Amino acid sequence: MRIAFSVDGGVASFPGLRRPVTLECDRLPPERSARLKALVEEAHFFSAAPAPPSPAARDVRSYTVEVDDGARCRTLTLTEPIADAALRALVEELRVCARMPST
Amino acid sequence: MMPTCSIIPPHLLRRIALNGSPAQRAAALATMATDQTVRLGRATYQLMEGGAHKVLMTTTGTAKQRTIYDAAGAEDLPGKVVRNEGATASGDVAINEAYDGLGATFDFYLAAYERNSIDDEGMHLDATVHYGHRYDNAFWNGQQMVFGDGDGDLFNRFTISLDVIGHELTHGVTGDEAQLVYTGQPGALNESISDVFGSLVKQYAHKQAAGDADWLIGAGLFTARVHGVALRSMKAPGTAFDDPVLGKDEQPATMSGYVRTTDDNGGVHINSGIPNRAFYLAATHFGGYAWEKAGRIWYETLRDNRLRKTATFSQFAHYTVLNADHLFGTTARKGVADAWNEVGVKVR
Repeated sequence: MRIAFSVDGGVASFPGLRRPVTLECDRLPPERSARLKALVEEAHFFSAAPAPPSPAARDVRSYTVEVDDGARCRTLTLTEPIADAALRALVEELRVCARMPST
Repeated sequence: MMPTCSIIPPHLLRRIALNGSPAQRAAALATMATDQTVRLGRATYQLMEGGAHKVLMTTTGTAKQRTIYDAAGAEDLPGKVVRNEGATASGDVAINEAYDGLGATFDFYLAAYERNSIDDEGMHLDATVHYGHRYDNAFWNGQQMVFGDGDGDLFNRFTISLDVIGHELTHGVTGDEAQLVYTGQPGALNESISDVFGSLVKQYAHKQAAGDADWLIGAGLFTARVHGVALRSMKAPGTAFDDPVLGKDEQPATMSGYVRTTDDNGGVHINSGIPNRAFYLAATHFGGYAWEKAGRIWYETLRDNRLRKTATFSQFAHYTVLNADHLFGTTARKGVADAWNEVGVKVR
């Protein structure tokens, strides 16, 4: 499974934090890879219908998540605050992964 | 269709609808039914002289109503109530900073512009602290403010900067007034207005003159590891940080550096550097307290019915010049026009 993740928006623009990251699950430590796959599964990523962003929200961040599991590929843009708890948990984990020096 | 008694602002209409005589109640309800929009409130306030405004404010009361919530590391809003208006200070610094910051913003708008809270109708001020896990952002969700604790590596808690609190609440004010769309130039104006009044909240709280202010947004937010002083500099856009992880502050100071991008809603936090510097230049041209002249001109422009939601820098600049002339005369008009010219924004 391959996951591409990028962040946009927030209270300020940080070009360094906008850098997209690609996570190849096979190359991650097994525990982290298993956790990511479980979160994708729990979020029903390939069928989820996230709520549209609030038009009045300001300084919120948007996350673009693309998951390719070999058979399927889907891109979702999720804007804070993310109402769906499972999608939120996936984004939280991806935020942690994106900060790891190895990525 | 304009209601016949459009001089009455919506909050007073609601009072009459609740407490008036049967005839008064019927008239007030009919008017409210005709036009319930926020625009009505804005139009009617502009019809009133300062004196009438003051009397109405006294009639309806201008007491702060703050509520601070704790999300306790989750991302569910609003969270649990941890401090209500008038309650004693908590042992938690983020709760107290949020409470005090909401109070300072309310006090600033009331004292400087006789504005009764975000909607000018005494809207309650709500904020949630400890949102998310190591969450490094603050935002306005359309109804309330939300603060993360920061990740501790790059960012401290987001309640630490009073101007960031003023910035977020001002998004509520802009949403109530000019409703500038959040993309491209009107989006960058929306952001700049939040920086302008966010900075003025801090300057007012510290009783700082324009020449003494730091003109930084978010000073204190970065940890010692970050090569930078703040999120943005209104005085010198593009110089606030240059860090191996965060990258370099990409704000332009003039139109020659205007950034065309699809990121950040079309660069709303990037190109806001241009109107930010125009405000700084106008404020330092006037000298003294920045909220008194430059701030008043920008505030009246934000409330100006002629300003469209899709305003460009040039259109916004045009109305600041007209309002400067109207409020303070031809010398002020020239000072504001010069400020826009210096950042490369053409004024009609």
